[in-house]
This record gives sequence, C-alpha cells and structure tokens, in this order.
Amino acid sequence: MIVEVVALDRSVWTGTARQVRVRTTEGDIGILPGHEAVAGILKPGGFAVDPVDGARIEGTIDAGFVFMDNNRVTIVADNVELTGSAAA
Amino acid sequence: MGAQIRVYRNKISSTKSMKKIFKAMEMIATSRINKSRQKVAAARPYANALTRAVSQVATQHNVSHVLTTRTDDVRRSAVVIMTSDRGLAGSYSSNVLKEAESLMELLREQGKDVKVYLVGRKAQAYFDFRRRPFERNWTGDTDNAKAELARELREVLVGDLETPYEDGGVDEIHVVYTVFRSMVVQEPRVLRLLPLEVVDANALTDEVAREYEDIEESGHNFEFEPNPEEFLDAVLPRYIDARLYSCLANAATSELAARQRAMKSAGDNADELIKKYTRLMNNARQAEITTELTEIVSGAEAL
Repeated sequence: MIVEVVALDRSVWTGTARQVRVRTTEGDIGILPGHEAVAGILKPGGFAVDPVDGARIEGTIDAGFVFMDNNRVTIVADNVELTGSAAA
Repeated sequence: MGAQIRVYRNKISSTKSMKKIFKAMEMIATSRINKSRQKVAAARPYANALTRAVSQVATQHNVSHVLTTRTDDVRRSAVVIMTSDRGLAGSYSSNVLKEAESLMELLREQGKDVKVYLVGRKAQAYFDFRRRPFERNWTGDTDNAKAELARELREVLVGDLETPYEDGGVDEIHVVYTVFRSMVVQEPRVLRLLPLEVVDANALTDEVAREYEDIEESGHNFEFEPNPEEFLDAVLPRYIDARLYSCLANAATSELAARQRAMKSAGDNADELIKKYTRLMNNARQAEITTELTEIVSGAEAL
C-alpha cells in the first residue's frame, strides 16, 4: 500500500509500506495493506511506518489525522518530526 | 543659457538615482519570488491530502456540518479581498479590486448584503477614500504568506458563518485573490470558500481528480475514529486553513511578480529618459557654444 506522510509545509515521506501504526484519539491502530477505509483523528504522539524495503520509519506528530482508502494511507499533521535513523 | 544645461543635468541625476531604486526593488522582488513560489509548491501536498480526505468523506456521508451545508436562501455574503500593502506593483491591486467590485455588484444584484474583509493596505486605502464601510482589515506581510494569518482569517470567517443572519452572520464567503500562473501571467480570481465546494477541479491536480472519480465509483464506507462528525470538525478547519493559505501564498507570489515586472519597465523607462535628457543637454551645450562663437566672431568683426 502507498503511504504518504504530509506536514503543513512539506511532504515528509512517500513510499510503499507493509504496515502503519498510528495513535488515534480512540487508541493505537495498525493498518495493513487492504485495510478497510478508515478516517481518524490523531493524538499528538508517535507513528511508525514499515516500508516494504528499508528500515522502519518512526516519527512524532502534533495533532493531525489519518486517512486510508483504496490502499492508500495519508497521515496529515501540522508538524511532523522524524526520529531515529530516518531523521538523518 | 547655462541654466538650461543645469536643468537637464539635474533631471538626469535624479532619474539616475530613481533608476537605482527601481533596480534595487526589482532585484528584491526577484529574489523573493522563488522563495514564495516554493511556499506555494510546498503547501500543495498538504492541501491535496486534505482535499482528498474532505471530498471523500463529505460525499460519502451525509454528515451535515455547518461548513458544508448550503443555504439556498443566501441573504448576506462575506467578501475577502486580498491586495498588497505597498504600491509600485503595476496594476496588481487595482486588478483585484476591480474583480472584487464586479463580484460585489453581482451579489448586490442578487439581493444579498455584502460584508467586506480586507487584506493589505491598498484595499483599505481604496475603501477609506470612497468612504465605504468594511468589517475588518489585516495589513503587513502581504508579500510573505503566513499560516497564522490564514488561521486568523478562518477563525473570523467561520465565526461569521456560524452566527445567525439576524446577528450579522453571513451565509457564504467569497475570496478575491490573484492566482499565480507564471512569471508573466497572474489572474485575479474569485473563490467561493464557504460553504465548501469540495470538488474544485481547478484546485485539484489531475492525479487527485482522477483518483476522486475512482473512489466515487467504488464507494467506500469509512470506519471513523471516533465518529464522522468529530472527524469533520477536526479536518474542515485545517482544510479551510490550507485553502486560505494557498490563496495568500498565491497572492504574495503574484504581488512580487507584478512588482518585479513594474520595476523592470520603470527601470527601462528611466534609461530612455536618461538618454533623451542627455541628448537635449548636448543640444543645449552645443547651442551655447555656437552662441558664444557667434558673439566672439561678431565682436572681433566690430573692432
């Protein structure tokens, strides 16, 4: 599935991934390819994306939302910080 | 006769110093355009993502939300006019104001009240001069779009939309701004911001538009966390922010491009003037020399 991480002023990361984990107001959810359409509000906190190839990408966001349909996940937040090795 | 040469010399030197100012302003505008264009481009993924989210959610769920509910009976409209703070940008501000004028006329013809919000000192001066009322205005930073301003505008506008008509609320909101198409083409445009026209073919890239069609056909059912209303509550203000910000960024870039062009032609005109005055000055000097020579010769002859 295609994953897009978008901040207010830039596109942070785009690629294909095996799994996405985000923290919604209702709790953490994991999204795998083929997940049904979902739209949720995100709490400030961490998220993680496992790309098809390459190391896991982790980061933190302030308030935003996640949106999935047609096997395409979009994580939108005002500010996104990548942490760990992905930040480099 | 020396007086005339002096007059021309003064004109040349003042034109030269003006030319320097024009050159400087042109260069400043040029250097800032790129930054501003990058801003427009950088805001696009965010705006596209939001557009996709809002259009899909809003079309698939008959969630009534104050920001998407259309009233058939529009009695009062708000018009936001985005102009520049400073002049010396050719017809940039007056084009926007002209567009706004015709929009306001149209709205009034339809029997709607018009409430005006202004961005930029030029718009304020225009309204003040004609002693026409406006609701509020924002100045500063018209050539440098700020997300804060977009947020503030949205708060005011959404507040107005949520207020009932009787208390001075509005039913729809229009934005008049200038779209930056290229360095030479900037068009004043009217955007109906609210209630949302979720699918705005111009705002969507082709790619998104195509996707949008796909999705409309497939008709997903979304699983909402926590529920559709709250999701829209959280997403719509951001969407509006993004739209307003993109208007501001477009306007800022257009202003800079208009200024650059105006200053370029002002500089060229200054060159022409300098050339013209130099010729006139040479003429005057030659005339003076000729007169002096004639005087000397006739003086010598008289002896």
